[in-house]
Amino acid sequence: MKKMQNGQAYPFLTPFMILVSIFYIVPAILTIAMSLTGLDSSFVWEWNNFNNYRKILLDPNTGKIVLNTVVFVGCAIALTIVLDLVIAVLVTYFIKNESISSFFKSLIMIPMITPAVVYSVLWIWLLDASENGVVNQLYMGVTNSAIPLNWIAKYPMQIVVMATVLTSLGFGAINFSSAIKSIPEDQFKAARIDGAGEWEIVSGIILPNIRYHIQFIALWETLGLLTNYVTIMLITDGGPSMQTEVWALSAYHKAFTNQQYGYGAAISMVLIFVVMVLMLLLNKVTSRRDA
Amino acid sequence: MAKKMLSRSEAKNQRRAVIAITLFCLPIVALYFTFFHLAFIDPDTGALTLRNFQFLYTTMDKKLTQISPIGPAMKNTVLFSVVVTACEVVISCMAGYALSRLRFTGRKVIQNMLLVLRMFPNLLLLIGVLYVLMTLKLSNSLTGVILVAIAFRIPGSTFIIKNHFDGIPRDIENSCLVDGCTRFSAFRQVIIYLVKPGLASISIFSFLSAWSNYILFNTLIFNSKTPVIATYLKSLSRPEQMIVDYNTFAAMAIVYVLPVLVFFVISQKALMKGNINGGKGV
Amino acid sequence: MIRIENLRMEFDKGAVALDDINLEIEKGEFIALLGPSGCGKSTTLNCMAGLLDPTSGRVFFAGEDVTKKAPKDRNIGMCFQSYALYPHLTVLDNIAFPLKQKGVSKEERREKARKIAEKLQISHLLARKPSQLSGGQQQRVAMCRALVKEPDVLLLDEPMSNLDARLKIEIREVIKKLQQELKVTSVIVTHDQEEAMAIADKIAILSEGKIQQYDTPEHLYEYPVNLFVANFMGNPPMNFIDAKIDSRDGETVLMVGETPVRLKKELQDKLSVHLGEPVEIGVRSHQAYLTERGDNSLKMVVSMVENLGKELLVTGEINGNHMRITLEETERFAELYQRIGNQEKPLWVNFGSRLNVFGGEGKVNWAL
Repeated sequence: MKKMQNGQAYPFLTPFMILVSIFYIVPAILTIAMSLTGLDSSFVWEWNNFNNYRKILLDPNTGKIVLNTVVFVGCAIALTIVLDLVIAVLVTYFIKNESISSFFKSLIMIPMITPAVVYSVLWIWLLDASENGVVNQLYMGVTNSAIPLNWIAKYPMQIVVMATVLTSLGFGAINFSSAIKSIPEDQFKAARIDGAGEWEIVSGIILPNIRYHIQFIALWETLGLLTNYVTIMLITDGGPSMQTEVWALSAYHKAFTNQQYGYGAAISMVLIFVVMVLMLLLNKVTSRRDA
Repeated sequence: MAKKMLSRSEAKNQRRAVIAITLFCLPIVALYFTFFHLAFIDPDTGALTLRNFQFLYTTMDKKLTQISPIGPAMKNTVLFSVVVTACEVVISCMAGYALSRLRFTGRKVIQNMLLVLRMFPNLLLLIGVLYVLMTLKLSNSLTGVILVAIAFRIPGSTFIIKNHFDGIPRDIENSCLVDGCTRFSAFRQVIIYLVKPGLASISIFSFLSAWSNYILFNTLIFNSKTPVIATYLKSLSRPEQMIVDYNTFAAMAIVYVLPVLVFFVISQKALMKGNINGGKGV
Repeated sequence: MIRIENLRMEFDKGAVALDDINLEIEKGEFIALLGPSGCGKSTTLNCMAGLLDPTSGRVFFAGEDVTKKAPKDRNIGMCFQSYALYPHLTVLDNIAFPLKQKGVSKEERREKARKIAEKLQISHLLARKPSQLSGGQQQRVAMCRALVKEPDVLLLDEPMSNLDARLKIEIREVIKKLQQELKVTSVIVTHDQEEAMAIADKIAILSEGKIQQYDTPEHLYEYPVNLFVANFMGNPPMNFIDAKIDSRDGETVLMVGETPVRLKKELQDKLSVHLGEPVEIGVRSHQAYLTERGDNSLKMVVSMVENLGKELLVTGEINGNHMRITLEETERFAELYQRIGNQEKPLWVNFGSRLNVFGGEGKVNWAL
């Protein structure tokens, strides 16, 4: 039984291993190395005695960026989970008609599959600061005020949170929906015979049954929100005046806008460390969910 | 499946739920719908027009600038998406099969690595990746971006397809071997058909993500010689100021998004069908 | 036709699945490998098929050593528990699949597939996909596929365990008839002793990776070599009564509590060497009979009477041991029913002449 099939397996794995080594493992090692140097656009490798990490601690903006990150991730995750659950329960438990429910599921996924470049302009256009902006037209119509508002300048964090939440709804809602579908129908029948109302069924049967899925999605989305900065970058680019600058975006800015590769790498490393801890948790949740 | 009969209260709840979710979705739908309105309706006359689509074949003169036609960007995007999807599916299929079915030295290590890589925030490694590409003299080239795009997605795809391979009963494979197949011909004639839903889902997601990829081009390509639609559109729309009017942009966005939407709608059906037929009678 | 020599199989973590299996199967014979789950019967079959490589030992087909050969080079047909039909192919293409691998032309293989399908009465299903078939139909398709290439050896891995009882009997007849007609050497793996008895010429009973007994069904039933085999064969299962070998008035007897059971001369000779040892008497339900007090009989208090239609199944206790007897006189049901739990109205049971006596280490049948 324990006959090795190395000869067969390795050819199958070679392309995978090559790509993973070149674009994950080597860059990871490079990032660690870079974070210990003052590497910039002149590409001189020079050990700088943990200066980058010291710089992070001393940077007056660090506190603000951490706070932004926490607020952004915290709000987005809470909203996402709640909306995911509501949508999943609605389209799976209450809407029994398969085609109606899959129609709405597809609809929810549209922001997710819209290319980020288009999606962000959609928001910018919606919130256009001039009197032609859609939201401004609504706003001026309702309040009778004559002055249009510059929404993005005024509520940048709220806007990026909303925009991000909308793109992440699809994944979680679909996930929860299939989890709810796998709850045996008999449990619902039994509950109904025992006199449970719809709310008791949702809170007493559906939620406990999918609790590991909820944990999983919460952690998974947290990982995504912490590290994926594209939506913010395209809508506000961290502005105005760093109000929406989150940790991952600041790493990108330092490295690619300011070409401080070493410093950017150090900022990335800090986040990678946090992410590693989350991944450990996620693995635990996954194994419990699949048990 | 027989159509389920709903009790009166269930039907009532269903109606309520449909109303609730419709109210939620309405703004999203309206938003996308206005894009069509912007693109096709002349703001002055209110008539149907294709004037906003001139970028498809010719240079458009605007107040601030000239807009070059979308052709080269379109070509690059199609090339990029097709190559990335094809390579990704093939590579992850091979790796997933080996990890699921063959036993070899280091199997456990690679499996654990896959678990980590699948979740790893690859965007945080872009600095290192850029350095690797420069060392390989691949930076600033489409080839480089293609390689990175494939690499960034194969752990996830491999993980998904491996799970599908894991779900194939041993008996089916044994049956092939007894019926006269080698491992390879069994893979080609039977196994591949059993993971069709998995293949469909990884190719769909791979294509969608490749088609809309922006960050890799923005980060790894510094000139405008290899535009893709994403960077082309981005260059025309800055957060501070739109270079083009929204009508033209909407037209461009429709050209960009339509393939994605069509593909999505088609594949949705395929996915559903695959799942229904794949599970039974195996 | 098939010879297995000293087959041994160890799995990854050192667990021994097969321990020194030896088996010889004549050409055209139908053999059953019978045992509880985990006994190694499927492992043995997979070694014959070449799907598993044994740790040591050899497998011969018609005198040729095939131990190192790939499954496809052994010319075997195999039928799996889950049927393992290819879901993307039609029934016709499923059946023709093995021939396709041999490079048989499309026309010819379809012709052959149709012929075998006709034999198994599934001609009307050929255009369907496996998912549109019932379990019994899938089973027949799997049989067709296994037989279409006219294999030297037919291997059946629990082919009927997913069918309901009625269908089982039907398919079992089909398989038996087909096997006799084609005279293909066949091995079936099953955990159902009734199925094995019905279908096989010879049965190998396995437990814990060892063959306990390899014999004809009749022999296994009448002369089980040890307690395990005796326990496994027959329904209702054999009764086991605790006893002790003793000697009374110059005769060797079995003491059940304080009551002696007298034995035939032949059996006395065999048991006399084990004088004083504790044993278990094995009695078949239909071989024991009701009689008068004093006729070499034991007292049984009735605890339950069931009417099985063609016979009565009477359950009771003899000296603290569970005992079942079957009676053909179904009209006695009401009378026996009255006796349930009644200590004053016990039955008197004679064990009959075909006694099995299990004793010693491994509970060997000393009556043989």
